[in-house]
Amino acid sequence: MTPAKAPRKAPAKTSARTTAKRPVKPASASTLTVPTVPRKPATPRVPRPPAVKAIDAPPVQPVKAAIEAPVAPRNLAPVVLEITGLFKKFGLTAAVDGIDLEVHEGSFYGIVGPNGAGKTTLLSMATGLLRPDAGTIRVNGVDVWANPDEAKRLIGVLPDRLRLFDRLTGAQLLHYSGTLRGLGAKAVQARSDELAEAFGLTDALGRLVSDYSAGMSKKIALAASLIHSPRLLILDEPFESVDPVSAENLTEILRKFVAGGGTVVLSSHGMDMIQRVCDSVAIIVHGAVLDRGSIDEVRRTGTLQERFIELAGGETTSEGLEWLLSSSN
Amino acid sequence: MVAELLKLKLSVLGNSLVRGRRQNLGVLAASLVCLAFAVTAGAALLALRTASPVEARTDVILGGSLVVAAFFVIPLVSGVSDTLDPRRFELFGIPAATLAVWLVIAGLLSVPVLLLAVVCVLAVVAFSANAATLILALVAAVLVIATCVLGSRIAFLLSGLYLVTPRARETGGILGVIALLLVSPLVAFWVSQNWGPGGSGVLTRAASVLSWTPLGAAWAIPADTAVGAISGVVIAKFFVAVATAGLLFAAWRALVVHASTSVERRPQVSIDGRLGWFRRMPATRTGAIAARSLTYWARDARYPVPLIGVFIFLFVAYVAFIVVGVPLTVLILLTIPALCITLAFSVHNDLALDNTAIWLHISAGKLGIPDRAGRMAPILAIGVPLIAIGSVGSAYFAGNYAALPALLGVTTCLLLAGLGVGNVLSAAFPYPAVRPGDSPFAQPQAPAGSGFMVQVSFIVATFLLAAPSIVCAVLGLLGDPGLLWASLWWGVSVGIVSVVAGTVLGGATFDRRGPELLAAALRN
Repeated sequence: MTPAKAPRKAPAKTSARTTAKRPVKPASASTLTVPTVPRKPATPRVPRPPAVKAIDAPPVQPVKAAIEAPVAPRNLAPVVLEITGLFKKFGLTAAVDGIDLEVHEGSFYGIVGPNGAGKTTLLSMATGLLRPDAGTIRVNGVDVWANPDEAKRLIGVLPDRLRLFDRLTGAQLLHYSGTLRGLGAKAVQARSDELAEAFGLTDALGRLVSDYSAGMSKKIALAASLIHSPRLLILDEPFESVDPVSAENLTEILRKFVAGGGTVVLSSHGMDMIQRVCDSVAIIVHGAVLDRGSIDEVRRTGTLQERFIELAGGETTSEGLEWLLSSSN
Repeated sequence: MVAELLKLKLSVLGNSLVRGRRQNLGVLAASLVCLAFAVTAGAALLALRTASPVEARTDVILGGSLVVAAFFVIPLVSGVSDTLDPRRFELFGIPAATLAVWLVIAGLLSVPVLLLAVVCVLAVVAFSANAATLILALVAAVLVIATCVLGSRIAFLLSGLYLVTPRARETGGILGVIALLLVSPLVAFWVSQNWGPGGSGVLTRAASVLSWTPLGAAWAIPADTAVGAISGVVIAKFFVAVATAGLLFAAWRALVVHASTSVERRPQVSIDGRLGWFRRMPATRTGAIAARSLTYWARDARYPVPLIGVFIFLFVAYVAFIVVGVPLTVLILLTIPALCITLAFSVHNDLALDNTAIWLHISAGKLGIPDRAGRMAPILAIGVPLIAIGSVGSAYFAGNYAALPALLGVTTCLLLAGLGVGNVLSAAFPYPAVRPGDSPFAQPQAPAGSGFMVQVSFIVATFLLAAPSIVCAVLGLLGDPGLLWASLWWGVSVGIVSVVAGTVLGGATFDRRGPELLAAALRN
């Protein structure tokens, strides 16, 4: 049922387009990432739109077949995050209604959706913080819910709207996060200093996190999520309330992480940001994936913002509210 | 110059009355409290003229020691900034040694010291029965005032030098409340002496101990003489008192010199300083969680404050018991066990205090046992010394050293079994607690009585586990001394087994229910 839902929509629309575009894509993808960083020759990172797999495997067959037999030549990078038939219900409403997703190694994957679309629910389940009702999540082939301890070692987490241990100083929080992940004192110290330097937090390390601004809290939490050198970073709204200069700085750090073979999955409201930073994107509305693929595939001829509004907000034209116009008189 | 300083101090005192209505009310309230203390103390002292000398000695030494202790402790914890801080006078170029003397003289001009002087005069009157005690009382009064002024000067300067941050003051204030509450049962015992049977022996002994310490030595000079103590003892106590004042003055002068010559380095925190407990604990997962718990107990009032409520409850219960006529020695033996189970109780919902920050532990994976074990660190850090010192102290004051093994057994068992039970309950049945950043006195936004069953389960389970030790102790005290040692062995073995089993079981529960714990925190 649900696994086939999204692909069923996609193939007719996207297959012709993607095949036509194929030769162009590597070039356009590399302009999105930083060209200055040398890429590892072993894994030529070419973003793969998962939707295309539906071409190889008919909708009745589960997505797995596509993974085992990757016919398309762009499927070279291994799958890091594989979500299959994910389902979560809160009361009567399904927050996540059968989502399948594949994220390849070295990709910078954006998840966008309107408020309440289920982004946070999806990411919480992927990080092992929220138990799904059905479906599986694998990280590097390790099932997050069957084998959580092994999977969690691979993941770095930045949750949205969860508290931090904010009565610790910045330095203590970094130290705490590192030690909880099993790092030794020396490694923690060295990495804390480097991360603080990279995130521009060195001066704030001696202050309590509760005295930080919202943006600084995001930065220290992001630094803490990186301290155990995870293979996969799952970030929920990492740029919310971060000033533009810091956001650029964060993006630079994340690009470096991706260039080193890491993988980033992040959710955001900022379409411009996603379009600029990510190489692939999935649009989620009402707990289901409406479109996904490389940025260029998804945005088509317009901007990502236009495509997003077309998919997510098409039906709500603002009728009524005429009284707003006459309110000032 | 001293005159200038005195004038300055006088105008500061005067100006404290013209700072606006709220401040005036505060000053008025504080003055009234001080005045009430002074009047009570004065009335008690005057009443002593008709009391027996032995009773008078006990009261004077105990009350006097309390007053001297207050001059040392209150400046440390009150968080009031000191008008006579020597660092304020740095720019005038006064030699530090001279400044130290002047500041002590100026320190005489304060409301608490003036009231102390009045009380001392009344004490002299109380001892005016014969010439010898009258003269000795005068000497004692001078020594007491000197000790108190020097003590408060030193305490103010220490608090200004080392406890300056607002947050530290917050914690300091709470520690002060705890100290006050810990002292208050003693005061209650003392007051109850008049109705409670068999109390005066304990208090006389306490007074005898205190009379050799810096707190009570000066007061003991006239009081001991009035009882007819050997002159050698009185002279020895006189030397204790003089040495106290002398050493305090030397310490004060050294501190003033230190404060005026060293550069303040408050904003610049060293890297080692930033890590605090994390530096001192081993860099393991358990060590890190222990360090975090210790840090939170010091920084977050939600941890120590609930203990205060229980202390108040204990205090009320004790007064009720005394009025009913339960022997004081029994209550003394019960004190440390009661405090131990109270301490252990604070673990039973510790996860809920973290609120949603607990995600960090869940996403680290397989953290159950380190989490459960590390969180016990602050409790053990308070509990172990409490058992060691408190049990011996209780046995001493109850005059029953034979009871010591049973006391150690029961206290150890209650503390460790309580920790074990709490470790399981906290991971299995968290209920809403005060949220981070809210006032520790606030009520969590949850249905009234949520968590009641968990609390009852904690008490019942802990007492069931401690039952063998308690039963042996009671039977032993009632007449079979061999069982007193059995109580120790039962208590220690059951305690250790419970705490280990509770930690393992609680850890496994934590690992299994991690996402559910976070969901529960999100609902809070």
